[in-house]
This record gives sequence, C-alpha cells and structure tokens, in this order.
Amino acid sequence: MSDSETNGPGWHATATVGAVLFGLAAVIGYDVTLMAPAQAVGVGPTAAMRIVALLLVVLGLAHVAKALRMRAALHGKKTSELGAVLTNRAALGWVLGGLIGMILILQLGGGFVIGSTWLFVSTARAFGQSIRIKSPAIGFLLAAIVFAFFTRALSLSLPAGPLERLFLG
Amino acid sequence: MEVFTLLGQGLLVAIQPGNLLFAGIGVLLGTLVGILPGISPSLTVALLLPITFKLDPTGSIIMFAGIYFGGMYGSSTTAILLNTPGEAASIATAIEGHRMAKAGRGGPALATAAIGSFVAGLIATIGISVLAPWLVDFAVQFGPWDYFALMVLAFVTVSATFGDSVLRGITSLALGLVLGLVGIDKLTGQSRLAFGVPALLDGVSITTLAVGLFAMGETLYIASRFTGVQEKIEAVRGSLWMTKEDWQRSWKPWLRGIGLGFPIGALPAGGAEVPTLLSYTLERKLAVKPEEFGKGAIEGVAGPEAANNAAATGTLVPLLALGLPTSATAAMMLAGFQQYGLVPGPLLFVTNADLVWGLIASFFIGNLMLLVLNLPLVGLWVRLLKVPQPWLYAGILVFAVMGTLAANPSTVELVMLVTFGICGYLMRCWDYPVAPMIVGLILGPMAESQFRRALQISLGDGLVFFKHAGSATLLALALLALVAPLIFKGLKRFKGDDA
Repeated sequence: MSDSETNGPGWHATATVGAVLFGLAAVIGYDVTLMAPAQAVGVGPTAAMRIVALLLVVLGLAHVAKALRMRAALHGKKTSELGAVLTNRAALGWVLGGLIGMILILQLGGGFVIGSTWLFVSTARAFGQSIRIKSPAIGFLLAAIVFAFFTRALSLSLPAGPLERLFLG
Repeated sequence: MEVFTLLGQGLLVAIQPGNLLFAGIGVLLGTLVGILPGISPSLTVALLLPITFKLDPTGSIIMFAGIYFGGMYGSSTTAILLNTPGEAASIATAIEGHRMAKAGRGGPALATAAIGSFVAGLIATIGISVLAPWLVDFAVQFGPWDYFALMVLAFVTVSATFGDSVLRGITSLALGLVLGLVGIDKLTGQSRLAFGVPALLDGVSITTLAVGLFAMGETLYIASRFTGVQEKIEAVRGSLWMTKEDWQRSWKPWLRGIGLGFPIGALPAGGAEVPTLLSYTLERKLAVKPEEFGKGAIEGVAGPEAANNAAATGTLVPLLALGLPTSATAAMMLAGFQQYGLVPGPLLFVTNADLVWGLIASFFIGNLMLLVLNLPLVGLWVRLLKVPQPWLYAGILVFAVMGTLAANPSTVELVMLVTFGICGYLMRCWDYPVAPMIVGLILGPMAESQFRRALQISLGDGLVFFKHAGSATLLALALLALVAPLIFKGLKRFKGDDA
C-alpha cells in the first residue's frame, strides 16, 4: 500500500495547501463579522460558518505540521532524489488559454460558436494538433451542430453572437 | 410480497414506450460518453445532465439511470481494451482484462464483464426493492439528530476511512463544505460568502463543481503530462463468446462479487473501490489456476465487475431511502432529482411512488438493454476508443462549457468552472481525492439544516445529539471510522519499523 510519506505532495505543496486553508478560514471569519447578529432563539446562519472555519484552521495546522516534518525528513538528502515528473507547461498554457479566451469571447458578445471554436482549436493545439484548416473546421462544425441541437431540439439557451443570429436568428 | 406488487407496477411504468425509449437513449449515450478514455461514470452523468433538463421527471430520471449504468459499462470496456481505468473501481478490471485482451481474449473479457454486470444489476435491484422500503419504515422514525449523525458518519467514511490519507480526504471534504456555505441561508435569508456577486446567491452548482473537477481537471492533468505518444488499443480478436470453461470460471466470482459489492455499496460507506479490490483479492485466493492471475485470469474480471455494478446499485439504497448520497455519482443523481424539486428520502416513496418504483424497475430494463446493445455493438465502441487525443479532449471541453452555459448562462459560472478545473488539476497532482469535495458540497447544507432543526427542537441544548440512542451510536461509529485508519496506519508503521 502507498505510504503517505512517499506518496502525495511534497512539503512545498503541503505548506501551500495549509496556507490556502488558513486563507479560506480568514475569509469565512471576515464574512461572519459582516453578518447581522444572531436571533435570540435557535442557531443562526453563522454557526455552521464558525464550525467550518474551525475545521479549516485545524486542517491548516495539520498541513503545516506535516510540511515541517517532511522538510525535516528531507534534510540532508539530495534534492535530485525527488524525481519530479516533468510538467508540459506549454500544453497546460494552451488549455487554460482556450478556456480564458472562451470566457473573453463570450463576455465581448462573440457568441457560443466562435468561442467554442477557439476553445476547441486551442485544446487540440495543446495535444499536438497544429492550428491549420482541419482543427478550426472540425471545431466550428461541432460547435455549430451543438448550438443548433441544444437551442432548437432541446430549447436550451446558449449565448448567441453575430454568427448565431445571422444563421439561426 | 407487497414489494413485488409495487415492483410490478413500477415495471408497468418502465415499459411504457416513452420511458423505454428514454432508458434506451440513456444507456446508449452513457456508453458512448463513458467509453471515452478518462471519463468516469460520474462525469458521464454530469456532462449529460443538461440533456435531461426539459424532459418530464420520470422519463428523465429513468434516462439518468440508463446513463449511469451505460457509463459504468463503457468505463470497464475502456479498462479492458485500453488499460485506462476511468475510475478507481475499474482498476482491478484493467489489470486482468487488459492482459486478456492482449492475449486475444478480449471478447470473453468483455462478455464476462457485461454478463456479470447484468447479473449483479438484477440481483442488486431485487436487493434495493427489498431493502429500501424496510429502510424507509425505519427512517420515518428518524429525528433531525439522527439524520445529522448519519450525515456526519457519511462524511467520515467517504473522506477518511477508505482513502490513502485521512488528512487529504478531510481537506477535500472541508473544501466542499466551504462551497456549500455559499449563497442565501434558507432559514434567515441572509447571504453568506457571496460578497455581493448576484450569481453566487443561488449557491454553487453541483454540476459546475463536478464538471470542473473531473472534466477540466482531467484534461489539464493529461495535457500537463502530454508527451505526444498515444496509448495503444488492443483489438478484439477471436471469438466474442465465452467458452464453457469461461462460464464455469465466471459464475461463482460473479456471485461472490455481488455478495461483497451490494452490502458495502448500501452502507453509507461510499464508492465501489473497496468491494472491487476485495473481490479481486478474494478471487486470487480462491482461483483454481492462481498462476494465471496477473496474466489474464477471467475470474479477475468477472468478480470485480460484478462487485462494481452491485456496489453502484447498492449506493442507490441510501440515496433513495434516506436522501443520502455516498459517492460522487450518487451525488450527481441527487442533483438530477433536485432539478425537479424532488427530494429523495422516505417521503418520496409516498408522494412519488410511481416514479421511485418506475426508476427501480428501469434498472432491470437498463441492465437488459446494456447486455443486448453492448455485446453486438462492441465493434462500434472500439472505434470510439480510436478518437485521437486532440479531438477527444477538445470535444470534452466544448461539451463541458456547453453544459455549464445551458444550466446557467453567465460568465461568473464559467469563471467558477475554470477555477474548479484548476483546483481539480492541483488536487490530482497532489493526490487529494475529489469525491469527498462533491459529497461535502451536496451533503453540507443538508447536514446544517438538520443540525439547526435539532437544536431548535431541543431549545439550543447541544447535548441533544448524545441523548438519543440512535444519533449517539452513529456519532460513536463516525469517531471510530475516523480513528481506525489512523490506528491501523500506526500499527503498520510500527510493524514496518520492527521488520
């Protein structure tokens, strides 16, 4: 079975998660102070927030303690033994770029089909498909079919842009 | 025998042509999506949820069940032919099934998986019909303190007991609980953690979280590990049919798998991973030809697959009878119910008896359809596995975004989707389980309302949870379930030092 000391995140990651947990607890604590005082009878909406914030603090402390232990255990060992897996940052960037681009296109009123085509092309690029005619063509066709099917056959609403209004208006 | 009358009535609902059609479409779509590498059954359900938005409740929930079983079946096909288990519960299948496929026995491997799942589905459905009404009778007497204690137990078992790490499991659960706090408080109408963003007042959608964590997270993870090499698919060579020996070696593992899977699934213990791995270990011990294990033993596919399907069906017992989702997929099913304002639990058996029994009966039909559709169509499914990675993941993302937009057309929702995706990616990298977060989001608010109701009845006495025998026992069990893995780990380490 996997041992938690060798499997899972390293001490940097563990410490980061601990910090995030403290941050979340602080946000909840801040929000509690903004809320109206509790009624006289029963438990108000802040009780659960306090409990969850407390849980977060406990978990955060546990993460920090674990990170310190892991760092102590690593002390003196060569860092090259860590054997980190190489991350394909370019591919990650393309996928995220696709998603953020899609959000921007929708925000600017470009519509579902153009946004999805961009998302499709960008994701395909992340997996090694070059941005030539094939990828945009498939993406555009897929997006158009999806848009037509879901808005017409299932009468769901998807954001429409100039293209959608022109052809399916 | 009242149960069988009710089940018979349910069967009449399920075989109405319209519902039969929905079950069939569900099974086909579920298999179609579930077979794509890297897509787990719960993601299949999450991605296909928007399709059911505009149908009537009975039809759409029957379709949902079809999608669920189809997704599970598709996932095991991928495990056998591609060695890519879509979920942890298919790992055992991938070990032996893929070896069988390599040795040219892919057909029998797929067949024993399908027939085993079918048998498991049948027996487990009968199990539901017997167990659920009994549990409902029992649950009617539950007070809010009992429900709260039961949910605490579910929290612990889902996040801590069976995972690799108690700390990581509970952290994931806590993140889900935080998300569950967001939105308008139902009792007082005050907004929590919304920070003036109108889209957050409705709370965080379970679909957005599931699609973000699974679809986005998985795509980002695969992209970050992308090296340009595509996995090799084993062609299905030779006969599709099982020989007499295959049958002889399969039927006992099926039954043992069901025996392990259904009870563990029906307990609020969550997930099908434990019974599948137990079944694999058991078959390995009992095998007539133990030397074949690791080289493609049919028992190693038959047992775990039956256990997987039985456990998945078993998780529907607490879901239907108590409204308690104990796995990511059950949480998605609950989201499906909620979109029609239906609340699973004891009351549903009274108010919507037709729907509940129609749904249970449609499990029979869904499983039968799976068997009839999947084996003959295996050639088609294999072709789906050959979709090149760029098109596959690009398509998954387009569908994920489409589903989110269809449910809630706002930019804030999309930003949340991407944020959850990044969160899912990091959790995947650092080995945090994702399912507890989803269960936390859906069960957290439910637990809170039971907690407050209990305290209102007891006029603020916090000891109310310990004054009732039921809730006190459940809370003690929860504590035990939390501490047990820590003690066992301590023992293991102690032994390890000793050796």
